Amino acid sequence: MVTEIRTGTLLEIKHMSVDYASTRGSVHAVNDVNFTIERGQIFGLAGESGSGKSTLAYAIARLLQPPAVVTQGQVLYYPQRREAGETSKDERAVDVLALNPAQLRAFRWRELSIVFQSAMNALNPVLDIGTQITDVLHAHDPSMSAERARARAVELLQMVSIAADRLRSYPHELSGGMRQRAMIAIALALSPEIIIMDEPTTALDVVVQRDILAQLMRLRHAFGFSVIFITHDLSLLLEIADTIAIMYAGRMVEMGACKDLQRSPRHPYTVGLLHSFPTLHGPRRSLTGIPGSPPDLRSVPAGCAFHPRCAFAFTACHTIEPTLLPVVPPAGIPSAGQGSCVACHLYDAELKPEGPPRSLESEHVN
Amino acid sequence: MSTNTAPSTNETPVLEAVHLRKEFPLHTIKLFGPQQAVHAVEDASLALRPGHATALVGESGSGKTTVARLLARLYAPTAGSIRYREEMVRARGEAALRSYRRHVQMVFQDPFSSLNPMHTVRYHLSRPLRIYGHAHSAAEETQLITSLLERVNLTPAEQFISKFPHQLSGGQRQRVAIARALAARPSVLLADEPVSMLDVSIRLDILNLLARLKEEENLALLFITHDLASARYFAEETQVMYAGQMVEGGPSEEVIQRPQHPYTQLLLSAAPDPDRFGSVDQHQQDDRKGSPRVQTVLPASGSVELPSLITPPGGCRFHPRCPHAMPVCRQQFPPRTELGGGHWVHCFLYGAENAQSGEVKGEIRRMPPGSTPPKGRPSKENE
Repeated sequence: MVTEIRTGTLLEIKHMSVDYASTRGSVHAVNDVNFTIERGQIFGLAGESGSGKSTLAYAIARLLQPPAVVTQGQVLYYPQRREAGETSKDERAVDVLALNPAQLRAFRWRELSIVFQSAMNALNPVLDIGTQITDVLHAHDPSMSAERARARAVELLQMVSIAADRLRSYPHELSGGMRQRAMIAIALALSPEIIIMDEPTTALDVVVQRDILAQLMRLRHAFGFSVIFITHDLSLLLEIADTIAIMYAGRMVEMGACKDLQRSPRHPYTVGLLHSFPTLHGPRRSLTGIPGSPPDLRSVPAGCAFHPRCAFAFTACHTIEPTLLPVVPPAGIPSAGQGSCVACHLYDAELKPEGPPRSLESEHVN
Repeated sequence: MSTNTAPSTNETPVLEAVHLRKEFPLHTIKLFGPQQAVHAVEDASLALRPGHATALVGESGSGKTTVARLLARLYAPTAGSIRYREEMVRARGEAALRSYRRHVQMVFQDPFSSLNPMHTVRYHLSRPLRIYGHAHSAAEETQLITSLLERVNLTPAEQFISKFPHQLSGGQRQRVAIARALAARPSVLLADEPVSMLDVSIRLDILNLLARLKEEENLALLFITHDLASARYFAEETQVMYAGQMVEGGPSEEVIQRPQHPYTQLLLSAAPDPDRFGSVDQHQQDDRKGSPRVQTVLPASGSVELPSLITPPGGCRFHPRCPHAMPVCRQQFPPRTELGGGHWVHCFLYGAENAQSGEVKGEIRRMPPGSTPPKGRPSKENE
């Protein structure tokens, strides 16, 4: 049952920018974002509402509708040979943004599928669950017989621990957790390489959320797909993700391995986010959170968008926009922060020669 | 931050719910048999003390909001009573309700729908000031509104006073909603998930604001939440509800560090907890392939759903999901067992009078405090 998790790059997002066109000029919802997803990886995308995390994910899946426009960037997908009989001709990267409609239809769901936040709205209320699964199968393989499609639908439902007799149930007859699991079953229908999950558990209770996450981890273990997991709940990502990227006002402000990000967060916003969650263990401390509120994307502050809320802002932050740069490991610990990137002038030796203050956390704990 | 001391029991509660029950009748035509109803709250008791916050924790459908709405007299209880300053509340009619709500105010979950989009901040705050007769002139009213806005940190107040809700962010709206509740000068504030609709980075701001108001104005606070961590952070006392029944309660630290009811243990093991990650990290047990940390906290039984509240399971409503369920759990709701230090639980696993549960009880009790929740901490198993 256990497939070996393959390694190598699966998806590469380069210089992606998305604008929402409006009569009063365009709103930059996603601004020059770069990242790579490895095979079998859980890539966590965290941010507050309006940070551009969902827009970014929809841009990758080419699901954006006007007024949203991808103004620049590439989504490079590295396909893997599926069956032994297939030639390895298409080992080169495919730019998802350049696919024609027919290619896009083949790409979607077979290679990349999405689980939306609200399962009630994403499922069709007038079709039963079985029909919605077989629909997917027939759309991508019209030659599939009805019995085979039905058998596959049963198999998929069982994968997410839904009894086969639920095949004839309509979405309103299922509980919230079951609906979300049915969505995951539909997303798995064609065994895609990558699944985008947009706040899949936000509307659910903790126990149900835990159940769905456990199933997701189990399925990933069995099938080796990658996940882009979008959530505002950083504490959840710290438990499940391999790599975490933090978005703020349309930009990626920090990215790094999960453990590294938790142990040594670098961007003051990340530090603030990590200190916005009361904990269940340890001493009860007074936490301060982050002052102010997220910016309006129509008038993002100049320089670093976070500077009005940042306790460590200095002159350069008001004018110069920081770029996402690899972290220079501190002397003596070369392994720390490997592969991590941060967009903050505190780590720019030219702008701030003395570096960041020793304890970014002191601002949040007293 | 105030330390988590047990609420002094000698302090008289300002608002008390005594054996509250609420059923919502279903309007279905049924010729034979009794009328069906949703049994939303079954025998809920709680006491709110001045300067203290009590958290009511539960999943959606547990009846926690119904309890708040009963206390706010938005619903009339089916049975049981509410006591305000040791007097039975028998509010019937507009005037009686109004004088009750002068003392007991509510803050709702969704600041996007609890403010009228047609009216300014000034209007929202002037209504309670006028209704409860706190403002006697226009100048006084403006001055009171300004000071209210300052108390909820909406400064400069002049800038906010004439704004409409759509011009405010979620956090600012919730501050207006809190200011509106404070305008009546209540002694009890019922906060129904006041931060769950807000962005993560501003939740703490609102929680800290409520904590400050609690201290400064000696407010009795009911804090309804589904998040045990914020209950621990914010409230001195925590009560856990499941499917309309109060299952466990006591000082927050006690309930969260030493949960006794199987449901509280389940809830705790399911909560996102980055500390758990840290402990796994130390042991290098997790190669991230099977990700055991997520799997180890699955509920023991298959079902993760709440039971139907129209035909709820008999006895303890948690018994269909409970790993320790006994025959007696099906028949009757367990009585309240005091565990000392203000910590109580409704569970047959505890309590001396239940002889048949003797062995199981001993087994459970021997469990060291560190190992609860039983399946929640992989690190302990590795040691």
